[in-house]
Amino acid sequence: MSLILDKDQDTQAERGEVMNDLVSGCLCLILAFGLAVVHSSQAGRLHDDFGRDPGPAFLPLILLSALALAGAGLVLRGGLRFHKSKAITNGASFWSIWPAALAVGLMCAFLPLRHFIGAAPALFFIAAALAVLAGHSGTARWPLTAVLGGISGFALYALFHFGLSVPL
Amino acid sequence: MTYDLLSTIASDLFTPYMLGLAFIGVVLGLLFGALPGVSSTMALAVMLPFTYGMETAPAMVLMLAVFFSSVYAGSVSAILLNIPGTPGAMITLLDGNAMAREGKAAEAMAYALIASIFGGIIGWVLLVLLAPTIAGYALQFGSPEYAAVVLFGLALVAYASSGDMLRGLAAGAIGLIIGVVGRDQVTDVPRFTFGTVDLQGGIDIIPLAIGLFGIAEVLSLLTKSKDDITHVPETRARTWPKWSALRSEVPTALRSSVIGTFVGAIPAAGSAVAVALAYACEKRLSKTPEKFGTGIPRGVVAPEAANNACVGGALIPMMTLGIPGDSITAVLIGVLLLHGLRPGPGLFESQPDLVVTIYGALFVAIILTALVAGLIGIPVYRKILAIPQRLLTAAVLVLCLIGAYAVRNAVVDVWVAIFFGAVGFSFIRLNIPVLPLAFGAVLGPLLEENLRRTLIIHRDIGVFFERPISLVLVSLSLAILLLPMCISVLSYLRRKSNNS
Repeated sequence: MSLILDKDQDTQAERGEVMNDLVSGCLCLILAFGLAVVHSSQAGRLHDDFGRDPGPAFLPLILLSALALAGAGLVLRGGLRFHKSKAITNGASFWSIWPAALAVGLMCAFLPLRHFIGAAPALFFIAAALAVLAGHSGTARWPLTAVLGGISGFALYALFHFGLSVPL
Repeated sequence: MTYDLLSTIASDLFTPYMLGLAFIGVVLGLLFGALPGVSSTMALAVMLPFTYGMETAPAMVLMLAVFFSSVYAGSVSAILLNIPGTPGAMITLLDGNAMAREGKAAEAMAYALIASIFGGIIGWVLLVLLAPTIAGYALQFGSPEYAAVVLFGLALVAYASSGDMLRGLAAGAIGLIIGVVGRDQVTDVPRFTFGTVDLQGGIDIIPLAIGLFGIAEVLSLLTKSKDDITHVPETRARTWPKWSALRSEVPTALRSSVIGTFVGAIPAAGSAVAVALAYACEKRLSKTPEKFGTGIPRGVVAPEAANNACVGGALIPMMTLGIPGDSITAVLIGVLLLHGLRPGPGLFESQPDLVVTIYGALFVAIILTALVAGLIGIPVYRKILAIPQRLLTAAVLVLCLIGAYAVRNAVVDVWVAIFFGAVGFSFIRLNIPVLPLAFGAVLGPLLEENLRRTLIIHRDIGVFFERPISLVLVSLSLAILLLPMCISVLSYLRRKSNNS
């Protein structure tokens, strides 16, 4: 029985790796071609003749080619293994990233909040919200978590602002 | 004569005033270095104004104490929080943080401390004994050798980082592209700046590392359910490793220290290349290379010994030639210049007592770091892990925001950290190694500068195969990158022929 379970887990892990190859390969290709378009269309002296100097476009072009090659390699490898593994997408795992997305949103709110209410209250509120978010699946009471989180945010502000003279 | 000099220096150095300054420097270095975003350079820059009114010798004692202890302390945030404070600590987090997750954070910090002290002492011995010889070898490095050593460093990182090599190469290429963002240093032409002024100066490595390692790791932790997070009580874990375990790490520490000193002595090569080289060397020599990255002491000892040996190595070109190997030694040269002294061969003739004092001050800093970090530092640092997970998560994310801002007091660095936090999180989800990206970003500008300089001077790319050092390094890099691919293609073809 455990052997069957192990085999099932191995197959699932392989399916995941195939999808990872395909997704990361496609992303590399999109990034390489997107940046190549930006790079080649950039105004200015990017493609001038610089004499003996190979110029500012030299290394980026090599790197974009390398990225495209690596992306193509990943897509090819994923494609070759795709039929064998019958790879599937897992919708449930996509939705499991909501706490991370919310945390990124809270961090992005720091700079606008700092502009309107100042750095210390902004860090207090963001640390409080992040602590509540991090403790959402636990049993701790959220008001206490929020207050302690806010205090830790304020303490870090004080350390950098007063201790290290960082103009936050 | 030598005896008189040494006794005079000893009596000058071992005074309450000098030892007190060294103690203050070590404590501040341990505090600053452990904070993400506060690099050794920043710690030295903060301390610089305090040296204005001092004599040269006390000023150097204070600065060297801050320098050495902050280099060690960079490993603390890497081990505890998975945030490398400096590029030199980026490899330490692979095994150090894995050990911390197993409840062995204090032991990982102890290994890091012992390796740092060992590396520091080996670097110091080589500095005192071989400085002029090593400096001579380091000066033989021209632009082809620099470009080759950077390529070698990147190949080593792609090899040493856990995960798939092809994905590692893709990550390395993205990292190198990030390294060329901004205005080109030769022609002043902007690249990949998307029309923004903020990106014209390039992307700073510290906010990038804070995002890639710190923010991404916490975001990944947030998406895990409570059952997935294994929590081992830290209080039950031992701090100091057994003597027998330590003895088995001595050859690793010795090899890594020698590597660290020699690479540290190459101007601008930096600790990032040294730690990658030391880690890859140990992985290559190990009978169980698959265990690297899973939380083994050797994975902490190798990079930490190399990282701290770099301190002695970095002082070699500074003392003997007056060349700053990195931004930290540039600040130290600034201290000497402030006091009307120019480091270089002339310093050995005009101020031999000061040279010996500097050597002595570094040794005192190493010993004091061992004592202070061992007796006070590690017990205090380990208390961080007693903080409830939810509060630690919030504090780490806020620390990442403030740390990213503190590097240059620039708002754009906060956005960079958040952006690369999201990128690092995506990499974790897609099982792409993050380390090659970070190293690519560090080494990209160095690679481009030396590659272009080589082509301007020699016109031909064949020069890499004509000079012995660059030939060896390029050949090794190609072997590291291509051999695993060739082996997997051959085994695939063999399987196919067997099946048919």
